Amino acid sequence: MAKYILNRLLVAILTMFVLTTATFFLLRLVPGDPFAGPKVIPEIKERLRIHYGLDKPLAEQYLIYMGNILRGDFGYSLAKRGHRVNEVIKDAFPQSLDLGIRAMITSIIFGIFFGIIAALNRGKPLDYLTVVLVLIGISVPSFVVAALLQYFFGVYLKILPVARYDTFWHTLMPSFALSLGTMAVLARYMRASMLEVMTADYIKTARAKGLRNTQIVIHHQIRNALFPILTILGPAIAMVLTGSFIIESIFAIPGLGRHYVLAMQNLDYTLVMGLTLFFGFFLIVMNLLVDFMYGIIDPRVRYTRK
Amino acid sequence: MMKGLYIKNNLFKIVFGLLLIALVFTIAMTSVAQTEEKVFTIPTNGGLDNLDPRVLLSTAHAVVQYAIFESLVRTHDGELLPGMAETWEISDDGMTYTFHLRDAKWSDGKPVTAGDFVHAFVRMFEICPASSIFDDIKNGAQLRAGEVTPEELGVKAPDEKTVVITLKNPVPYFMGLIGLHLGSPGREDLAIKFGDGYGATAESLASCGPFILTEWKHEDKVVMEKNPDYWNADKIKLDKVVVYILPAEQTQRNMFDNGEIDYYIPRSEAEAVEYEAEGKLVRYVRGGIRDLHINKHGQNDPVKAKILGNPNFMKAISYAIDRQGYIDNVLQGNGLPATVQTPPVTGIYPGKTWGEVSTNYGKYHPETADLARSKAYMDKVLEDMGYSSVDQLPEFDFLTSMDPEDPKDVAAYLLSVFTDIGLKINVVYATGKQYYNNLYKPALAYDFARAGWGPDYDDPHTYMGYWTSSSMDMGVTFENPEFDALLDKANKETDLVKRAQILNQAEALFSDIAPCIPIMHFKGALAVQPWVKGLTTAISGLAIDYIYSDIVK
Repeated sequence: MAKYILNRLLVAILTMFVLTTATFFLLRLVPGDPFAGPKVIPEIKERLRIHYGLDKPLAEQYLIYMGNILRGDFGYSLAKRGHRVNEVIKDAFPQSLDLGIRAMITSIIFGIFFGIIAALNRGKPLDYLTVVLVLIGISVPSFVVAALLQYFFGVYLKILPVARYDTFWHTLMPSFALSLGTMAVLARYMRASMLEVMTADYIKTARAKGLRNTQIVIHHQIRNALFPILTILGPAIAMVLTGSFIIESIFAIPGLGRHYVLAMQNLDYTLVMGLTLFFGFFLIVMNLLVDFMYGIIDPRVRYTRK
Repeated sequence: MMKGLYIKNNLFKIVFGLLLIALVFTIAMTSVAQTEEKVFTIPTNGGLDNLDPRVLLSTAHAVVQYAIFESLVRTHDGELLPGMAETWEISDDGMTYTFHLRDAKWSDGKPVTAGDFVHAFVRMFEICPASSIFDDIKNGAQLRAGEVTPEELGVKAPDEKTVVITLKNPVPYFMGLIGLHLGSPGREDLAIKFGDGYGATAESLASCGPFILTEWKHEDKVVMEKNPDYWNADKIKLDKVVVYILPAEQTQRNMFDNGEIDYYIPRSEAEAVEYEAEGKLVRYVRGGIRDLHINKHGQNDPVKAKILGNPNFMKAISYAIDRQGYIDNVLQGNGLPATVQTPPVTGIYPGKTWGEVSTNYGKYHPETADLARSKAYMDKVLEDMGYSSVDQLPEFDFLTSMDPEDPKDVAAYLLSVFTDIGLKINVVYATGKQYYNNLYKPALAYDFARAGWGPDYDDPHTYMGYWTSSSMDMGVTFENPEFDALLDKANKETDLVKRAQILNQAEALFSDIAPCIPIMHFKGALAVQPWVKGLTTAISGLAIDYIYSDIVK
């Protein structure tokens, strides 16, 4: 197990290194001078040039840049006057994370639940109902759902606040809207996975042993069917965290997604760089956690993999 | 059988759970405590990055800056109120203004001194791109250019409680100008202490206005509480002002409909009419101009420069623009056709508006398209260039900050005009700050630009002053010494009627040959909640003035 964890860790560190290096060189390829424009006053421009060592040779710049990143210093935002990139991330990330976690929990619980219901009722009306719901969940974009929710619960029924991220009631609509896509995907996977497990030999054995149906479903079917779900959980987390821009904008949530798009529009290179690396690192860590979870849930992984 | 039971059991749990949630909701919604506190809630689109009035100015910033800072005077509901200055004297030649400050404190307990004003003006001329509107102050333009030292600026503090401002011209609108947020006092000690971070956080700012900035959650909200030490605190009825940052306009509208924000600016005339039917709409006089800038330098391409610098070319385009048709059909009446830069509602001297004085309306630019005249002007351009057809004209860059595919925006309409008269256009769609980087000097990276202007004071000069040769604003390229001289002459004239005549002359010259095509003026419409009382509007400065308003629920 230790060897497995070490191996995963090394791969993760290598990925981070490649990401950081690629970001550095890609940003150098973007046309234009990041400090151009009359709105950036000369002192800031000069300080930034010195801070990022842009007057030095490329190799040296790269070393300084890696040094800054290792110390966790992303520098000043170019477009948001007086704001440090670290501060921007620190201010905005809690909301994005909170929203992401709520959405993930909602989608995992409901997604898996609907998947199980559908599989257990295969070919029956309940199965078709979930299939239709899944289809809607996958094909209707989250911003449409968000706008409809906002109008229905906020303006029409007047039982939920329209927007912003303040109390528990504020979190309900955005988390649900954001969870829908992932929920649908999880439900579909769970259904397929359950159906596959149902015909497996060990289920037959369990039945032959005369176990009760509920016992078979809970202890054998669901537990084994969950394993493939874990595989898609990593990318699903990525989807929820990076796909939140529209939701953040519609519900006026001060999260990272909005900063990302604004930074791109304003050619705020330092902020774009900071956010890219932050998102990248976050996803790598998430995938790493999923890898560890594999090891815990499925003993075969930790023994057979190097 | 077992399976069926299992599921039914779960379904029951779900239904029960949902009912429980609904119950909790009902309780939660009905038990919301009725607070006595009067809170005014304002929507804004965002972009609040720095609240130092010398760094960033926009409608969103003004909403906060006018509340937390107090300039020497304050304009409210068309009236001039004292501000940080209790009394003032104007010298007979109209060139020297002496302000006597009242005893006032910053929110951190320090006294407001005359030095805070001197620091603010020096800092403004040193770093603020919009400082040119204050160029009437002696040595202001020179300080911006780095030609004089800060000590030579015409803003002085002979003692702790006196601010003396010396002008280079006896301009009649100076009291309106001095009330702007740009002219509010600043804190040198905090600017030094926080450096780059000054103005970017609530901690780095001290307040001295009717409200105190108490909380600023970036990209989320700004909270301001009533300042008990404010000189006119008895008249301030609101306890708290909250500004919510709401980037999606539909969200603003939904929040307004749900009673979560106190006003909303309708996006179209159709929306305005809906609110009018509900009795929630306030129509008001609004300044500003939407126009098309032409870069007469043609991005340093001599052929382009020759064409773009030709006033006939400007007129060929202007006469092809159907201002009235665009407003009626696309904006559903939400605007007024502009045939000169200054809106007719602008004041000029007591009792008269510019619309009653100016002789230039409808003279140089038409309200409806006149394609025959447009073609006649274009033929003159072709003749000058030695071309036989429009096809020989080069391709032009059209810079816009708005989605050129948005049919509601003037950029989309202008594109159709360009195409109709046979121009080849390359659209440069620059978003956010990138648009200004392209537009402003020194870049001037455009041939045509969708642009506009909002008034800084209620005088036609505000619509012409930024077109002078020394201006660094909005990427203007008129550079006409005769026009500069006329404006200077107007501001030296103390007889207001004579001054109006000179401004009229300047406007005629500008409308005739400047590389600028006026398109539309704005109609002001605002949806306000019925419980908001005493909300006023202004043509310049704080457009929606809530400072003295009240909430009566």
